[in-house]
Order: sequence, then C-alpha cells, then structure tokens
Amino acid sequence: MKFLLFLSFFPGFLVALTIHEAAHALVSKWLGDRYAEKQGRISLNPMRHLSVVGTLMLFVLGFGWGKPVPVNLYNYKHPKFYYLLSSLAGPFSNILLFVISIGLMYGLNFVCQTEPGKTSLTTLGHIAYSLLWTFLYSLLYINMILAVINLIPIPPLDGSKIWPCLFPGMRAVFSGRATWIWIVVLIMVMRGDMLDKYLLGPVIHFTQRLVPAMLYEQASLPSDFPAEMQAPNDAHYVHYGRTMDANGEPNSFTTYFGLDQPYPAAEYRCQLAERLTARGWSRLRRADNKDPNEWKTGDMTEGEDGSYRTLMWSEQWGKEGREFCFEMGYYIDPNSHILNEMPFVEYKYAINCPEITK
Amino acid sequence: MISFFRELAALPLKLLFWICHFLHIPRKASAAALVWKISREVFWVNTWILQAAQEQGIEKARDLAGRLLELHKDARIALQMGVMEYRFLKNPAAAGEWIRRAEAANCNFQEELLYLKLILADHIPSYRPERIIDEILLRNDLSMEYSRAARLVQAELWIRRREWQKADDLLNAMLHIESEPQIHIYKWMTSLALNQPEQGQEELLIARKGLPDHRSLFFEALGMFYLGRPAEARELLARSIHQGMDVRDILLGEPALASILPPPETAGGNGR
Repeated sequence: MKFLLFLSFFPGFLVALTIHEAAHALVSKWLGDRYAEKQGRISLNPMRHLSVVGTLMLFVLGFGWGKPVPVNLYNYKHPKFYYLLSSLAGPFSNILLFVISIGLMYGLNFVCQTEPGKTSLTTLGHIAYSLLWTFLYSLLYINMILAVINLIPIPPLDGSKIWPCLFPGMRAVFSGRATWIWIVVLIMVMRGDMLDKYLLGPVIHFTQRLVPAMLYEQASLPSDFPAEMQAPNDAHYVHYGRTMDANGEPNSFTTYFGLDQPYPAAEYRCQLAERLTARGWSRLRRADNKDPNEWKTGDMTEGEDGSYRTLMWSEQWGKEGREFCFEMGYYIDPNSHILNEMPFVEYKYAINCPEITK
Repeated sequence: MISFFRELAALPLKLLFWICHFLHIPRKASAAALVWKISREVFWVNTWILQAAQEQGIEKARDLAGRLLELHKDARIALQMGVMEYRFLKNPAAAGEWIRRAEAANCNFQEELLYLKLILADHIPSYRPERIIDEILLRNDLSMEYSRAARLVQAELWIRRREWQKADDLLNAMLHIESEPQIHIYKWMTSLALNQPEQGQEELLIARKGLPDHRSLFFEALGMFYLGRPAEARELLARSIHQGMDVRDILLGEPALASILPPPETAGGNGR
C-alpha cells in the first residue's frame, strides 16, 4: 500500500527535482556563472540531476535528493546576493510549480465537470483524468515539501546557503567540512516526528485547504437500496456496496463517501438522523460511544487493514418491528496526528436491515 | 540516462572499494579499474591510476595513464598524473610533460589543465603566472577551486612584490565569500604588513585550526620571509621541518626559501 503510494508520487518527484536543480543552474547562468551550465545542469532531463545514492535513499529512507548544482561564487559580481538568488531559485521554482499544479487541477475540474456530481467523461476519459489528477496531486505535494524542506538551514539543503546570505557578517559559503555529520543530522531530522509535527504537518494542512477535490461520477442509489442510504449531495465520491449479512443473505448495505471537509461529524449524523426520522424511523439505542465531535486522536482504533484508523459511531433505529443499524465510520491516516489535518474523511453508512428487503 | 545506470551498476563495487579502503586492504587498483569501466566517472580512472602507482610503481602508472590518455582523450587524466608527478614525486618537469602530451593528443577538457599550469607556473618559464591567472579569471565556466587557486596565486604574487594593499583587498573579497585556511594565512601576512597585528593574530588562529602543524608553520615562515624577517622565518621553517614538512615541498612552494633553509643536521624532520 505504502509502496504504491510512493510509486504514485515518484513522477512528481522526478519533475519537481529536475525543475528545482535546473532552476539553480539557470539562475546561476543568468547571474554570470556558467559552471553549472558547462556541467550540463541546465537540462530538463531528470537523469542529469538524479543522484544514484539520493534516488536509492528515496526507496530506503522515504526521502531522496539530487546532485547538488555546483556554482562558482567568484563568477558573481555581487557574490553574496547572487548566491542568495541562485539558492532561492530552487525552492522558488517549486513554489511556482505548486501554484501551476493547483491551477491545472482547478482547470481540469472546470473542464471535466458538467454539474456537481456529474462529469462529461467517458470511461477512458475517467482513467486519463484520474492519472492526470494523481500526477498533479503528487507534483503539488512534492513541490510544496521540497520548497519547505529546502529552507531548513542544514547542509546540503538550500537553506544552509540561503540563511547565511541573509545575515550581515556571515560568509556566503557554509563550511563544507564535516558534511557527513550534517547528513546524519539531516537524516535524524527527516526521520523524527518534529519535522512532521511542526513544519510539514501545518504546511500539508495549508495545502489541503487549497487543493480541489478529485471529480467522481457520483453513483446513483441502486434501485433495491433503502432510500435512507442516499449519500449526501456534496460528497465528492460515492460508492454503494452490498455484502452478506450474518445469515449469509445479501442484506448488508453500505454507502461509502468521501468529503473534503474534515470532521463535519455532527452535520452528517444529523442529516441522516433527520432523513430516518422523516421516514418514520425512531432511535432505539446508541452504542456507548463518545459524541463524534469530541473524538480525539487517542480514541482511534486500528482499522482492519492496519493502514487506517477508524472512529465509529453506531446507532440502532427501529420502525414497525424492523431494526435498522447504522454506523458512521471515519477512516483516518494513522500518520496524521491531528484530526483536523486530515486530507479528507471517508464516511460509511453501514446498514443491516433484512426486514426492509423482505 | 546511460550514465545514471552506469553509476547505479557500479555502486556495489564502489561500496566494496571503500570498505577495502577503510580496512586497509591492499591491491585495490583492479577494483577501481572495474568501477571506472562500468561507471566512466573520471574520479575512478584517477583512483585507478593512483592505486596503480601505489601498488605497481610509478612507471606502471605512467604507462597506464599514457594508454588511457590516448584512448579516451580526456585531459583530466593528464591533470591527475601531472598533479601526482608534482605533489608526490616533486617533479615539475615531468608534470609539465603531461600537459604537453594532453595538448598533443588534442584531448577534451583542456581547460582543466589550467590548474596544473598554475601550480607549475613558478617552475616552468613558459607558463607565466600572470597569464595563467588571467586565463582562469577571464573564464566563467570553471569550478570554484580554479578561481580560488588563481586568486591565491595572484595574492601571493602581490605579497612577494610587497604590494600589500592590493593583496589585502583581494583577500578581503575572498573572505567575504568563504573561509579557507590559506586565505586566512595570506591575510595574516598582509595584516602584519599593514600594521594590523591584532587582525593578523585572529587570522593566524583561524588558519592554524584548518592546517596541519607543519603546513601552518611553513606558511608562517613564508610570511616572515616575505615580511623581511629572515631570522624568524628560519626558526619557523626549522620547526616546520621538525614537524614533518618535506624540504622538497618547501622548495617547490617557494624556491627562494632555499636561502634560509636550516642545515639538515639541525632541522630534523623527514624529507631530505
């Protein structure tokens, strides 16, 4: 699962890294230093920028790096200022690509969506759309992460070149000695929780607020499904499923839907409750769960597949001797520390109602 | 794309080579040769030649480098051999011969030879230092090492001519960019000459941290020599030799120091 996720991000990593390194080289050339150009670094060929070890580490440690772009500060007319500009060029190019990716995602959705929940895409078009959207999504994230991480002042990251140029009295070139010590420090920082919690977490949270949702052709409620199972209109994807109940009968109905808004628990619980009440159902009992609005990270339980944590809310409703049990589930990435930072929350109404179909 | 996969394929061998290196396992020339054949990274052809010199002697290494130079037409091989001839064998004439061979073979990367020409400029009359410095400084596609070396030689030339202020300005500009021990040690010289002893002392302390004792003492002797204080220069030079500085390196660095070299029996050290 994680490997597939990683693979889906690899094309974005290639593009982001290539543009990042080529931007350093190009700006350095504009500022008077052609050393990087002579080394073939003003190129959109990723292979010119990929470091063998950095690429392998991507698979081993979960983060990688490219070949550093060599610059000769003595070729700059104003060494410190120009070094600052050429060092900023990499992160700036990533921010630019980030903005372009978001623009393209909105553009793509604008072109493909006819009305909420409906698209103009054929099956093949959906596949192409999904691939393109996944690529843009990965590009957007990798660019944001590259831009932010590269501002950390630890060699060999760009931040170690940028910050000294900003402080008067500091030399432009950070001492190149003890490079391996810095790499160990960097690995410790990258593998530790602090980076996720205090830097990448808030940045990803911010990014999530800007990213549009992927378009899905919203599935219609199957004709033999109870009407109560209709997903909310603003769900950006919907899946209706049917499985066997405890007696081996196909009477378990499930509605899955995803929402961009993280944690609107009360709203959707109330929406369903209203719908049930309107159809004459009344609440019989509720499992002894906390109110979903008070859920905290510590209340999570491990999901069945181990890769997600699930928060469940369940209630029993009854009407004319029939029983309707619904569960509302939130599937949450275990790596997220804060509920509100969820990229999206997947909800599930699961109803076991044999009486309805008989 | 090919080079990336070549480097990738050579990675296990590189690791093996470095493990052998750290464990001091001899006879690594063939491993380096194999890495070069797979990766085609110039670092590894140089390592191969260096290992061959250590394991089979300089003549074999010269033969190997000559064959590789003819075959690959890469002036960086000549640069490696030239630096080796100069640094390890203290033979500027032989080093200069590699420049001639690379030029005769019409090799690629001829600009890389400028560094060798620069360090040989004091020893081969046809390479006038000012001309080589200009040639390096006029280009904007060379590595920072070349620009730094050219500026340091320029500073040294001005110091020799007692053009202290010009040297000091150049060194200040360099120190604005980076902190290298040799820049600090030259700055120490100009600071003393310009009557800034406190600044000089600071520079000397920084330089000493980045240089081995014998090198630091050699540069201090050189500074005293240029400042016209031969007695102190002689004493520092003796201490430098006592700490392990090779007399041949001293004479390669500044032939004029021959006049104040201490007699061998009092100097101690290694290199006579």
